[in-house]
Amino acid sequence: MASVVEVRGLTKVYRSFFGGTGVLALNKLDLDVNEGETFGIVGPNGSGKTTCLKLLLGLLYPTAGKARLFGMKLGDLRAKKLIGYMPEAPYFYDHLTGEQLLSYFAQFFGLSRAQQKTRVDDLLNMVGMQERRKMLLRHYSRGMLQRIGLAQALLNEPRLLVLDEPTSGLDPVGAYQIRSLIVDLRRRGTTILLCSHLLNEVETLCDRVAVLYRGNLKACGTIEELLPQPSQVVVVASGLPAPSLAKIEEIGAACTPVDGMVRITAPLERSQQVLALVQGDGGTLHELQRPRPTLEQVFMEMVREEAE
Amino acid sequence: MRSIFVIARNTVSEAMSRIVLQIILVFAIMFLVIGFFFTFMTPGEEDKMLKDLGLTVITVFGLVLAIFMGVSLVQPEVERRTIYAVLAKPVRRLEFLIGKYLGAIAVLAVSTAIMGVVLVAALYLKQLVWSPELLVALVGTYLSLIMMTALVLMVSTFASSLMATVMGFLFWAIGYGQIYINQLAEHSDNAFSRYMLAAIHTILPNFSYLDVRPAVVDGALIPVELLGKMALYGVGYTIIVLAIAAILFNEREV
Repeated sequence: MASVVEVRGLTKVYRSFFGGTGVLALNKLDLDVNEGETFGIVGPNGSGKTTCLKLLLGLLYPTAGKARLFGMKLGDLRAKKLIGYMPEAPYFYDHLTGEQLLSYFAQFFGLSRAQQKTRVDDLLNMVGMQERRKMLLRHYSRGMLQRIGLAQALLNEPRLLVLDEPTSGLDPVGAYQIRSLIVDLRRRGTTILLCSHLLNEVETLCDRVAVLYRGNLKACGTIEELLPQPSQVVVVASGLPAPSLAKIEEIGAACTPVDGMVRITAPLERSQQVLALVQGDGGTLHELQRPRPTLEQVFMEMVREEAE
Repeated sequence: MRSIFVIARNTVSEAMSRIVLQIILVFAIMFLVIGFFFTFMTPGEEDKMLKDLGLTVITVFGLVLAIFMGVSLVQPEVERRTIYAVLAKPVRRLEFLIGKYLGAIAVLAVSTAIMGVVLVAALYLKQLVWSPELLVALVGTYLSLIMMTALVLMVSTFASSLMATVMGFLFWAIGYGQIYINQLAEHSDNAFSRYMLAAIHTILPNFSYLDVRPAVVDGALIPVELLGKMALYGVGYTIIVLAIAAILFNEREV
């Protein structure tokens, strides 16, 4: 699969006007984003996520290392024609209406007037802003700005969509709508590079994830690769007599009473034995789970290890 | 090229929506109108008084506008982060800078023209003669405005809005006081200060080259060659300053 984004040893040190040692924002980052995939960059505030995106877009210059977009150098206008970018908490020219803003940005892609109109109409419909198209941006709410921000990023039907915290500050409905749009774009084959600190969002949307912490890449891979396999089974049952519970505990499981039922936690390899005992002793099985740590738990573990 | 035009047009519409610009323009027109009613103070020299006051008002308010426009071109875009979405599009930094600048000087052209029309109307209503030299004075003023905008824009590519504003007023003071700087340099005993003053005199603008107000007020004829020289100085200086601004802006991280 072709790499849309190639990053090799990308380093960024923010220095003050007077020089000094500076602040290391990104440290020798290596990553690839393949065509058609949704790639997430996660990390706490100040981990280097936005710095990474700004370097890719040519808004910042790397201290060391290099990166290529579609095989082209950073800042190449041919590559920029293929990219859509939605900044974090977008703020646009507030003297324009939503429609005017989209028409303004559309002109940078050399679209004819007719093409502009069609594209702007389609996008306003897509992000649900058709009714507010004539409203000045200064009167838009945060959610509306976010939607217009996404619309302007899609004007050129980008092959690579770069989203910086696309749902931050949105209400649940707004966040759901933006996520649905992202899923739709992904289905259409758009490569998406998504930066977020909302780990459940990244877990839901992304094929692969890179975890950044204090500018360093802590892990990178598919969700399957990043999340450890479940090692335990949890059974919720009722109607088990005390001797049965004792037998279950003998095989290495833990029994905890919960609301008139019992919650049995056993090693995964003992799951068949536990089930046989529950059903054999006349118990009623209510729930069977193979709990797997979430990305959030894995991430918190990484952060904790790093802090120690 | 298309991007430059698109950015320039947006800069014009943004400037037109700013209440500060409208207030400055209204004040300028108010002063011009007040001058119209105070010509009685200089009996027999009404036209001189009106021209002098009118051209001075246009220059002063024009320079305030130029500083305001120059400061508002780059730094606020960075501070409000509106620049991110623009530079992420297929737009070169140079195109962004030039587009912003052309938009600003278009606004200044319209503002100077409006103030000029008010002055000519005042002269006409007082049944005074207006000469084409008045137009030359307005062109000279406009040239100093485009120079000032370029200078402030250059400073704002690396400094804060406040610093750029302060520098703008400093350029203004030095630009009209170059004769004193030159005299100071000539009479200075200290070699270092002599060189420094000479450097300031050479590098910073000399607005007096473009200031033909005294001649116009006195009704003197202005040779056509002078207009050419003024244009050459104003445009040439502006191009050099813009080239430096482009280099600085290209290096700037946003």
